[in-house]
Amino acid sequence: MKKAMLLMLSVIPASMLIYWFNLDNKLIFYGVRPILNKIYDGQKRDIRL
Amino acid sequence: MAKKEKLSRDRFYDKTGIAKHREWRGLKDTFYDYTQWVINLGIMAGFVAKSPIRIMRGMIEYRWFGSYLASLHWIDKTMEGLEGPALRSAHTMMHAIMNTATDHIANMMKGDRRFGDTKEAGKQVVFEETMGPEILGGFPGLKPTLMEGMQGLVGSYMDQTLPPYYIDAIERYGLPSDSCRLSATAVGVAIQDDYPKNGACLIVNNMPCDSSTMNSQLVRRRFEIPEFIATLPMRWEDEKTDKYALSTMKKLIAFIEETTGEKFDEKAFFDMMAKHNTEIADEQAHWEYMATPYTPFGTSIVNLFHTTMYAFSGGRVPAINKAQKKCLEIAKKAYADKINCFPKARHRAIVWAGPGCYFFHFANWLYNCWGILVIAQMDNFEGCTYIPTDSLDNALVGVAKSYEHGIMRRHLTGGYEHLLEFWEFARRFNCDMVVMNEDITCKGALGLSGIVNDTAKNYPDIHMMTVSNDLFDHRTISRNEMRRQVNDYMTAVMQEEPLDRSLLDFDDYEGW
Amino acid sequence: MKDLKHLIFFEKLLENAENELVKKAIADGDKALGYSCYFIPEVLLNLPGCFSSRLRAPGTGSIDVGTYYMSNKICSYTRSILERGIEGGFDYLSALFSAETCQMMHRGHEHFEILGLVKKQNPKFFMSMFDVPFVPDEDALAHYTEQLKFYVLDKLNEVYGVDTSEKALLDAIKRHNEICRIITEIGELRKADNPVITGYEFHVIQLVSQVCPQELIKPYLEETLKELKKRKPDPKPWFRTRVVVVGSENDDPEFTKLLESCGAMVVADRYCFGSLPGREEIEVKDNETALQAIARHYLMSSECPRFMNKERTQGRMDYVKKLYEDYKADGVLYEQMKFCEYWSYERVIGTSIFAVETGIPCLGIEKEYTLVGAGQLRTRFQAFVESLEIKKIQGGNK
Repeated sequence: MKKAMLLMLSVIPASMLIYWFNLDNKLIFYGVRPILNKIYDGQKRDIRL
Repeated sequence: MAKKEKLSRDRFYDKTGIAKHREWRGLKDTFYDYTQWVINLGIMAGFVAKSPIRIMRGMIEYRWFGSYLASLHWIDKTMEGLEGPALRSAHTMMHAIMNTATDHIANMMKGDRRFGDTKEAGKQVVFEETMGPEILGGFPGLKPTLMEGMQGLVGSYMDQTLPPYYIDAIERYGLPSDSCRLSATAVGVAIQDDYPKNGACLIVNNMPCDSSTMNSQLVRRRFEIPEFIATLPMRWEDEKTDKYALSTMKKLIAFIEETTGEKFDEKAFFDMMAKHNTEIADEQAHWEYMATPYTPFGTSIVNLFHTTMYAFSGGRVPAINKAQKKCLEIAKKAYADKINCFPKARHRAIVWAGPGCYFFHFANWLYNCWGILVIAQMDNFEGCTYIPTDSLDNALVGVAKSYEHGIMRRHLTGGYEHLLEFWEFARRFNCDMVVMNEDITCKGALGLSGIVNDTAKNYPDIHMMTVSNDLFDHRTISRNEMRRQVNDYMTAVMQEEPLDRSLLDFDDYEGW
Repeated sequence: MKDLKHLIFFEKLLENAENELVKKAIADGDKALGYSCYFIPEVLLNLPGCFSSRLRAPGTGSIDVGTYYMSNKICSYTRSILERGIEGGFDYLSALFSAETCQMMHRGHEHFEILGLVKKQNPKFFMSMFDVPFVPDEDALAHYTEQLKFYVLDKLNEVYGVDTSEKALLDAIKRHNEICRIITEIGELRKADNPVITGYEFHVIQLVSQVCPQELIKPYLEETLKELKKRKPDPKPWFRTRVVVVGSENDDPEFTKLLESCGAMVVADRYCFGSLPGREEIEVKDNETALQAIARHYLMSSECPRFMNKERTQGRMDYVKKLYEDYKADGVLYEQMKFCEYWSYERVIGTSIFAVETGIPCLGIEKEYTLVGAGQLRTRFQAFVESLEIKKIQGGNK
């Protein structure tokens, strides 16, 4: 119970930090997006009209 | 020592437009925005939970799906500069939009045969833009999924770098770059085999215009499901065309019955149409407040909410009407308390014709940089049709009319007088400005550009500013080019100073 | 080959929309009825006391005013028509019939109403616009028939007292079919291995049949047909290859002349203002009225890209293939008016699907209404002709 409370109490300020410093979007744009673009660029697709 | 001027643009990284930190709106509103961000995260978690494996596979498979990772950034841009009741109504609408869009994408993935055969696929009917799902109101066991909308239109809103992949795909086959970008993108997605393979059947149509008629003929080559062509009259104001429209609707129903095995349920249909009408009525209640100085509705979100309602709901998405009612309460309170929800506003504007979708938050920029408050855009006044419920035939004609009056169609077809309605809307909503979008590929609007200019002399109290764009392709006319056009007008013609110099000219070409 | 007796006369008629024969017909009390699109049945505009005038803007120079009204991103045919209208070049018209078939063209025609064009000269002038379906089924046919009745026949009757009775329609069909027979017979001459007519000459002949009062041009057409039947071809064909031209609006014989100067004979004209389709006879079946027959004919024979159903999309390709075979062509030229949405896509279909599926050599080009960029076009045509010759030598696809 104590551990759960502690976890919850730390999640909120952590989320606030993530929110304020826009860490979610920074991670996605600078971290995830380039990886995904590599995957998309490397795909073999059935390209035709 | 002079206080350092607080400049909005300092908050963003150059070129990418990613924010260094989120917007400070005072403690109360910033905390509120944070709570809404948490809710949005919850919506996205809920979305993934609907079908985690398929959704992950979809994200890896489809380039357009990857662009939806920009959602949180996009929401931030849509909320830029908003505070108080405006911020609250915007977030309320945005939650409804998020819930609707994520449900939709989840359904698409659940029904995607590319990831394995599934019963869900047979329960879906794929609709080409710009038909709403009203006709499916009579088939409670079936779900509508949009073709093109998520890949093209909303994809462009999310990520300006997305449509060029698809546009280039069709242009490699020789399609000229002066052809409508929306249609070109739709074909490009088909060429790249980037449409999900869902649906029991496909409904293509001739809406809104010439290029849509043609793109359907190419797009459908990549769909291996039965297809129906819903052709509706262009001259929709002519009551003599109603008979033909009705015959199309009846044939559509018969087609859906035949291909899905479901039977048309009249009672379910009328129930749905009643809900559709409630949505229309509640939206028009919003309009009453939009005409006042105390409106909490403004900038980009208003148009997006309406387009979501038209494209996805038609009475079937409870979240839409729930949001409408909640926003109405916000509006009533703001009006009663005489709150100026947009304190930076110096002008009130209607935005008309085809927008630069890759600059979705253009209206927010207009407000923050120049104090131009966009009350409504052309799409807001399209697809606002009440559907009669006195008889099935009348209701079906009403549904046809709803499509005929749909997004991009109501004002660009059926007669030149429709395109010119913006003047009356400007008066009705007490606007002193019209921002005329000039989509350089939209022939329906371009064909009247001189007449539009000529009519301006009849409205000396309303300023008209023309801003060119290329609908989905930011490479031709970038966001900064659009900003420059506004800047030139506001300095040379209006002789005004910007509210925030840092927003005048900056490079965000590489970002979402 | 010996020059055709009336060719110079025909070329002169094409120099001006209000040409000598148009003036004569109007002086005789006939009403000139303007139109641009195949979906406005030519036959309905040739009822008693009326004659059809398919709109062209020959000798177009600057289209600055048309461009002001419609922007420089609209097809130059439409802008040229509007410019000519504003200049007073269509003041001879009693009415303009239009359909919301093509966005740009119908916008151009709307300007006639908005700007009050022609009205000063003729207060009774009107522009009538109607709806045309996108699929050719029975409901569409009924709809189209009704639209023609209200927006063409009833309007003519109401404003000008034109006789729109069943008898009048049947007579109009008969006269229309006579013109079609003559033009078709002339057109068939292009199928010969060494034809007695050039593509340019045929283009001129087909155009005069559309822009002149048919009763007045008919004697000249009949004489020309007689002349062609006796005409001796050159000892050897003057051309190097034979091409089918497919595409959007093309009312400029100089375009055909340019193409033929590069060595390619235009053996079949499958474009707007062309004869394929356009000069097939209208058949009135037992169980239908004249108007129903007319509506059915135009709806079913049209090769307009706006028909969306699979059968018509495929049908258009099959039709081009048939023309290629029937007229013994070596290749197909897909021409598209710049900014034309319909033909932008159809050109893609032609050059990327049709060409690949059939193996028939195709070239796709963009053009303006006037022959701007003739040098560039010439280069492309020459290259195409050479490639067709090489293919023939190598025993190409036949």
